[in-house]
Amino acid sequence: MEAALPLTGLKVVELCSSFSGPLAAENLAMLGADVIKVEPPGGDVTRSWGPPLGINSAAGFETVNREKKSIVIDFNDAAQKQTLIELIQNADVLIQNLRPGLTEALALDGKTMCASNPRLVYCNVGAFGRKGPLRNRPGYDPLMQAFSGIMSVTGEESGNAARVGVPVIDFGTGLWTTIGVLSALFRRSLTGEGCVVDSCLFETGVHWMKYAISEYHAGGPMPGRMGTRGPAVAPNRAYNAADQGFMLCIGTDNQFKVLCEVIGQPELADNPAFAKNQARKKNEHELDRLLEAIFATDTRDHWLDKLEAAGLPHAPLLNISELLAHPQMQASGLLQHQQDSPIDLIGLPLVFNGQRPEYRRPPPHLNQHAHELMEGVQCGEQSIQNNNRNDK
Amino acid sequence: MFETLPLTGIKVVELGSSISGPSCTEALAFMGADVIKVEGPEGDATRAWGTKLDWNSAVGYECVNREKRSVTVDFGNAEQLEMLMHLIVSADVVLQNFRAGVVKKFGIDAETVLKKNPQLIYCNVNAYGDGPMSSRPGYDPLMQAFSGIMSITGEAERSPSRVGVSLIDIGTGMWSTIGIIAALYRRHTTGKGGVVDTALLDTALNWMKLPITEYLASGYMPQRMGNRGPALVPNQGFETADGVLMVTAGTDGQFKNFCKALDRNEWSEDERFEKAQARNANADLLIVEIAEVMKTQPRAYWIEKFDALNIPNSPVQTIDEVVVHPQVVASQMIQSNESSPLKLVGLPIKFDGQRPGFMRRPPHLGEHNDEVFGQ
Repeated sequence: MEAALPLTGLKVVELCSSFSGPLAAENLAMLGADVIKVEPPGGDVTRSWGPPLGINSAAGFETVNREKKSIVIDFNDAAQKQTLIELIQNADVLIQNLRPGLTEALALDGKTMCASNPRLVYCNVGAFGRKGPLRNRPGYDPLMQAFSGIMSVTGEESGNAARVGVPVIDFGTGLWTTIGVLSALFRRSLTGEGCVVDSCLFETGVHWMKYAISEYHAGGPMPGRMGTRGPAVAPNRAYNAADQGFMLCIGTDNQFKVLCEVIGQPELADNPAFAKNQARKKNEHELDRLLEAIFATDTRDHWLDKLEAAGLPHAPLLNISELLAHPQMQASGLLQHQQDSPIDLIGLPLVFNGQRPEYRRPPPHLNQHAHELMEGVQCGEQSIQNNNRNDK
Repeated sequence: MFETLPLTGIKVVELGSSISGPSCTEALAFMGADVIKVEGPEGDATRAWGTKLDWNSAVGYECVNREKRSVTVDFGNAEQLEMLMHLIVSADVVLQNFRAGVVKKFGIDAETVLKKNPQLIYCNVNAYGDGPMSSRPGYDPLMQAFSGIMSITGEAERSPSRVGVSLIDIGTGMWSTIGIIAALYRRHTTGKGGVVDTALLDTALNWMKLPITEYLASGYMPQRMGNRGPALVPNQGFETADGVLMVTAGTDGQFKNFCKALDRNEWSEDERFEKAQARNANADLLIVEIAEVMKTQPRAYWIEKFDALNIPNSPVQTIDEVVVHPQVVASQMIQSNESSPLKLVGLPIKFDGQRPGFMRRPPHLGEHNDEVFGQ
């Protein structure tokens, strides 16, 4: 499998902290690239995000830094900076998410680096991008959720706007960055030329809202907060059983008919107020009251068994420990183990020719690979390649 | 700048419907690929999702089908199926997100078509992937519930909430895009195609990788925190006199400036609040104090004060505010095309400083049958 990873042999230098850039570089590493993470003397800030793990790391760092090597570079030290420049000149890809203007100030910007290495794919992961009144502001996932309107459509109808509990902006930007870098590499394999790729948190936020924005432009209703309710069809929300909640998503009139049998109310399916989806949508609050009363009479497992047997779309509302114990989760093989890693980590949600890329190398200790990489720089790229082979 | 977009010349056949598959091929099309969307005679279900438009389309369809051509194929018609097979075999990439087992039934599954064209990249977009639930269909809201995303979204004292954007469907489209381009890159060296598999569930679990890692590291189960962000204090929304403003002033330096903006300099010398860890320990007390001050002035007043002191902040904007904000306008993310009645959101990536343009409006059903299949 290892030899077959799509990016084997590719050299990536990461000048990033936090989540967005490191996630993009981790994706490339999981796909087989050799990623060198360049950290400041104090290390990536995420090494202290979460309870300490005893290896100058924390869950925040471990989550997005698998399969990489770490080296510390002090930008203020001329010799160390020169080492970095040599690393970049030998690299295929550079990803940076330093604060706006810093790479220009250090003469490590895309234009300068691509001039000395025209095959380089140089990627800026920005906050608000290079234009507009906010272009010099830093970016933070929760603030960008607020700014892009994502929070305005998340939470209960009668409650306050809520933040999405997972970092959709940071991770989403990491995904778009990965896509941009891969496209540029594909192009380079035909033309021989690198380029500068720009992605940013703010644009990712706007992109998440593309459906809502299109609705708005089409003159449709302004989407609001709907709690657990989904759009377009009814019933399509969470209901509470006697003990716990579950989601039900009825998309067709026939599924509704089956549901009426499952809950012992077959006559409901012939009631003109509920028989057709548009009628159900119009009368959904009345329908909800009926369903709430029925589902409250028995346990979640009772209803899930019945819904499963009837082939109706449903899902339990799981928390993390329930999720990890679920047989489907275990069958997915997505939570991966590596003998030197203090915690099991989530792998790539991609399978190539039936195989998911393996967990090969745990997140690096700070500056763990300095010796190996310095030697590589001095002796040219050959010895970096040798080191890689020795690792495998 | 590239003389052409990065995926120019790549031929893609989309056997997709709904959001996940089509959003992947749209991203490929944005980057220059020639995408042929294959629809059944009735058309993609999304042509009826959301506000209806009067050209047999709806908003749900328009927002993930730019830059493509559309052909219709009746899978029950042997002759048409044969024409589809020709199209597939001559392509670089095929993507399908049918229910489990459908492509096999029609003889257009990966194994069969890769035998005819070993250079093909074939992407299956699955729902649950392998495992006990492999035959179940997938829906974005159900996957949000199953994966625990809803358990950590919403207000602490209230019920779990669904995330208001389709992060599972569109996220799976993004992962499919990554898998396909990586496979194309490898094909350039090896000459071989292959099969890429993605799944809605796998995407959901990837969104959860931070809370899952935290849980495995410490046993800590993240909770719903409403508009509060993790780790830092203050890092949340506060009611002002006329709306909610989000503030992140987590470093000690930012907090000092924040105290200045609120005219509460004494807090930054108070040992309960001075350092980040102390603020975490005394979060409840500090948040109540901040809320008292913030509600006395309108949002614009605080934004001006915070901006002047470099304190990260943002209003909780609604969509009508988002689309007219000067930053959104400057980004040119919302694109126009003279033949499209709707403005549509573009790709959040630039190559050499340029965003791929809006070249072709979403196709009408079967608009390119003649062009693609001949008369």
